[in-house]
Formats: sequence, C-alpha cells, structure tokens
Amino acid sequence: MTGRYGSTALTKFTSNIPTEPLKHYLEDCRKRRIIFFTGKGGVGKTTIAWTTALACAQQGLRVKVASWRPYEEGDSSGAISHQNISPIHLTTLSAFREYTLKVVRFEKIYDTIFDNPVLRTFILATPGLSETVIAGKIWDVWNNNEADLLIVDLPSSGHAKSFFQSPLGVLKVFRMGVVHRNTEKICEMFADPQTRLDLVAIPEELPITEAAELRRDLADTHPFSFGFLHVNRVTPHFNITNPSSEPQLVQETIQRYHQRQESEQKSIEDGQKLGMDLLRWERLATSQQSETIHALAAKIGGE
Amino acid sequence: MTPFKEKKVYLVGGPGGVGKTTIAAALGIRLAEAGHKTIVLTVDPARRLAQALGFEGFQQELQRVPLPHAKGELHATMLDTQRDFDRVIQRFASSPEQIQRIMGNPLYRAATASMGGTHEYAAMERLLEFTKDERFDRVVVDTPPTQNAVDLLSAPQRLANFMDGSVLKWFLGSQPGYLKWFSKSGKLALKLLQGIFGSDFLNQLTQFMEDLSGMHEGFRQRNLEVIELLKSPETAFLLVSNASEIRFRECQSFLETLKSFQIPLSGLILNRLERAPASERANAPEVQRLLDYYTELHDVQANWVSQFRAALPNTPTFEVEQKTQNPHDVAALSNLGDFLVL
Repeated sequence: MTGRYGSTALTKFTSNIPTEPLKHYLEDCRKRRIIFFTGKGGVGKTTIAWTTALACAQQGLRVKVASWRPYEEGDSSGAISHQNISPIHLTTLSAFREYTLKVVRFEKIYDTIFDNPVLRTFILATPGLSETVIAGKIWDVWNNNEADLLIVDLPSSGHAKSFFQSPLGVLKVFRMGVVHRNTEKICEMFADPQTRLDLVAIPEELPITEAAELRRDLADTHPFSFGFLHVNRVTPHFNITNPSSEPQLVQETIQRYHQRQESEQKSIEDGQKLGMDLLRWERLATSQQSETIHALAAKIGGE
Repeated sequence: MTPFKEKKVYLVGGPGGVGKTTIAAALGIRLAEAGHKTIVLTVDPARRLAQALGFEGFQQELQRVPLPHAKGELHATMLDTQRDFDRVIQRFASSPEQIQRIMGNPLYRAATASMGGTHEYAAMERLLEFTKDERFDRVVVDTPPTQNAVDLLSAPQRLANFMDGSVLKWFLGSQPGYLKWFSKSGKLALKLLQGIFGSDFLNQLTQFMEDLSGMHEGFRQRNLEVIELLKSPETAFLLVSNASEIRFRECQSFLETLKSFQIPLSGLILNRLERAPASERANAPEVQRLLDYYTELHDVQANWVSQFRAALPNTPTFEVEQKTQNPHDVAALSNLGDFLVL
C-alpha cells in the first residue's frame, strides 16, 4: 500500500499486543461456518468483520460477507477486494422475492402479484417478517455451502436483538406452514456448534456495558456459542520511563495518555467479566477504513 | 431564521455511537440552567441517559433531575414503545371493545415489540405530546440510533400507510371499482401467501386489519402534525458526529435525507475531537513516538473536520474535545455543554 498512511506508517505504532491470541482467533475462525458480529453503534463492527474476512481469505478460505448496508456505500470496505471474498447485500425486498420465487417459481407471476406498493408496505410493515426473510437468506447461503465461511456484519445492538428474536416471534405467530418449518431451520443454524457470535466494543464504559447486556439478552434467545469480545481502538502501549525529564507541555500530553490508558484498562477489565475470549485491537492513525482493515488483517496473518 | 437559543424543540440526530445521548443530556442541562422548563426524551433501550445523568434506571415515567443551581427545571423520560403504542391505540380507537380486540391480537404485541419503525414512531408521538404539554417549554429529543434518517422521519408516514386499510382492501377485494383488478390478483396472492405462511397467520392478519379500521384518519392527522413540527422554525435539528471517514459518509446520507424532507440543519456538533499534543520535541525517543502517534491521530481528524466544514459552510459548527473520562455527573455534562452559547 502507498500513500501518506501506508502500511509502514500504520504498523509503526502497533506494538505490545501479543500475537498469540490472534493466532488462536484465526484458528477458531477456520473451524466455523458462520460468524455473526454485533455491538454498539460506531464501535467498528464492520471494520472487525472485514478484517476477519480478509485475514481468512488470505489464508485461502472462500469467504462471503453479508451486510445490511450496500458494501460500496456508507463505508469504504468496498475498497477491500480479494479474489476469495464476495459481499452480499441483504435487503428485505430482494430476500422476500427470492424466497417467494421458490414457492411461486415463475418470476412473471411474482412481479405481477407482489411488485406493487400495497404489498411492499405489507412486507416491510408486517412484524418480524423483514428480519425473518433476511435470516432465511442467510440460512440459504449457509445451507448451500456457497462459501467456507460466512461473515455476517449485523446492525447495532437493538436491531441485532430484534433480528435474533424475530424468528421466535414468527414461530409463535405462524404455527404451521412452510414459514414455520423454515424458521425452525433458521433457529437450528443459530444453535449450530459451528456458528459463532462475536461482540465488538471499544474500551469505554457504555459500549462495554451494552455488550454485557447484549450477551445476557442474546443468551436468552438462542443457545449460541459466544466467541470473542473484540475491544477495538485501544490506545497502543508506549513504554514511558522518565516523564519528569520532559518539557512541561510534553508532560501534560503524557499525563493525558496515562489517564486515557487507565480508563481503558478499567473498561477492559469490565469486558473480561463477560466470560468471552477478549481480543484487543489497537487504535491506528488511519484516515480510511480500508487502510485499517488491511493493517489489522496483516497483524492476524503474522506479517 | 429563529436564533438557536430561541428554538423550542431540539432534535439530536446522527450516526450511532458518536455521543448523541451525552450531547442531548448536556443540552438539556444547559437549557434548564438558562431558566427553561426542559424535558429530555431518550430512546435507547440501554438506558444510557440514566447512566450519564448519574441515576440508576427510570423509576417513574417522568423523572425530575435534581439541578441545585439551575433557574429552570430538567425532566427526563425514556421511550417505552409498548406503553406509548398502547396509548396511541387508546386515543384513536372508537370503543373499549376495539381497544381490547387490538391489544389482544398476538400480531399487535409482536408489532410493538419489534423495532421495525415502531421505536421511531413512538419517539415522534411522544415529541408531539411534549410540545403540547404546558409543563415544558423546551423539548430535547435524543433520536433513535437508526441506520439512516429516512427511517426516523418517515416512520409516521409508513405507519399511516399501513393503517389506511388499503392492504386489507387489496386482499379482500372489498372495494368496488378501481380495485377490481387488484381484488382478483389479491385473491391469488392470498392463496399463495396461504401456502407460504399458513392460513392461521392470514386469519390473524385479516382480523388485525379489520380491528384497526377507522383509526386511519387519526394516524394520518398525526403524521401531518409531525411533519409540520419538524419543519417549524422553532425546531432545531442538530447533527452530532465524530470526525472520521466513516462518520463523514454516514452524515452525507443523513443530510441528503434532511434535504429531501426540506428540514434545515441548525447545527453540526463534531464530538470527541482529539486534542493536539505538545508541539515541542520530547527528550526520550519513546515519548517522541507517543507524540508522533497523537500528532497523526490529530492530523487525520483535522482533515475530516475541514471536510465537514467544507460540506456545510453555512451551518454553525461546534467542536467538542474528547474528555479523558466520560462525563459521569451533571457538572461534567454541563461543562460539556460549554460550546453551546445559550
């Protein structure tokens, strides 16, 4: 990579974070068929999901990354291209169409009947339907073995919760029929031992609290295997031995650094109480998300 | 244009995780300190405002936040979609039987429990309620963390659409004339949907739509009021963001939506900006590495700050520095509000 924040600049600050846990992380990812990522908004779920995808793709796995946002919009992870990665954009209407077509079988009939504003309203507004058809789409990709690993970049906590809860509601409302049977299969996918659910946070009080709440709430929905708690944007460690020999203003910066580290450490300790494997990712001085992803993936690969 | 401090309603929006709730709380405290009777509505299920304001959980629906030195008052409330929706149904229903039928339908419970737009709708509904409440003269809304602003702003419209019965009419073909063609394919669609969803569900849905009939006008009226309120010169829409590439892109789509709804942006708050490190050189090489690191972080951020300013040259922009610790009490929150000249 070139440019102002090229990969040499990126790694020059990454330091004392041990590489052993990253090796363990990669090994675990290789054993999975599907990994879900969620957490509080703005903590870097997409970054961690794509970093994982890229690291696995570089190891030769065929990876699919499913997300709610079109991958070329809203973030620059679309700039991540690798022959082994293919992105999937999940939308309710396309998932519904795909699903119904399996039953109706004729596109023309579908388009005549379903492609009108009234029915679109119905699909988007019927409780739980949207989440469930998207879960169905994910199940489809999973079931067809279209990839070695499917990475799902879920929306933030609240939406992720309703994503996992909706199929349970659907099972209650649709007590028979194709939907009931298919929804049962979706629940089996969530509970599969090769399925993993990871949470992403940053070393601050509220995101860690939210991760803890999410861990508790999601444990009530499905028998997930919880994997890793990713603590993103941790300030790198600098080994400062004699701050008093520095000029006054520099000392102030050092003090700020120590305060920051102390509060991050406290949050990390709170994170350890979640009972998940905790992985730390350093905060890099990158301008673009794609640079961050490349640098972190290189770190996993042990470069 | 109404000056910033004379607005009556402040909508605090922006991407998730940028510090909206904290900014909304700081704004509420500052307004109360300036002598206003202020209500802050927060939406998040994680009860973050309660934490930021330093009291555990909301015991009551409406909680007075003690501010010893304030001339005005600060009240806080949290959105409860279930409760707020029940209230809407009670308002628009024509008889106690109708209320009972709707609330007894499993679909209604499922609808209010899921987040698909109901959260956003309930937020707008409460906002409207508070603007009419004489106990308050300032309303601050910490908006739901939606993926995009369209979800928030169009929630009342979407609900009104759903409620207007056209879905039901389409399925049942109860409308003569122009819906005749629809009714024919409606029957076909119904048959197909039965194959997919089972007749059980469709019966419930049909029942639900029938129960809701007659309430459409209420919802439509409400939607018009919300739109009017959002466009009112007394309403301020504040965009909170951090200065980074991802946030910049998210805000761009946010702004496009505001524009399409013809809602002007009253202010941009760039939150959690890293302070520039000392510009002197350090003696120890490791300390210099630390300074270099902070300098790079700061440079990257400064670049995105100028991108924001260039994109919104006429919008008042406030820069708020990253605190080493999250504000945990009212005093710290009030300090955070220093940038707001009220």
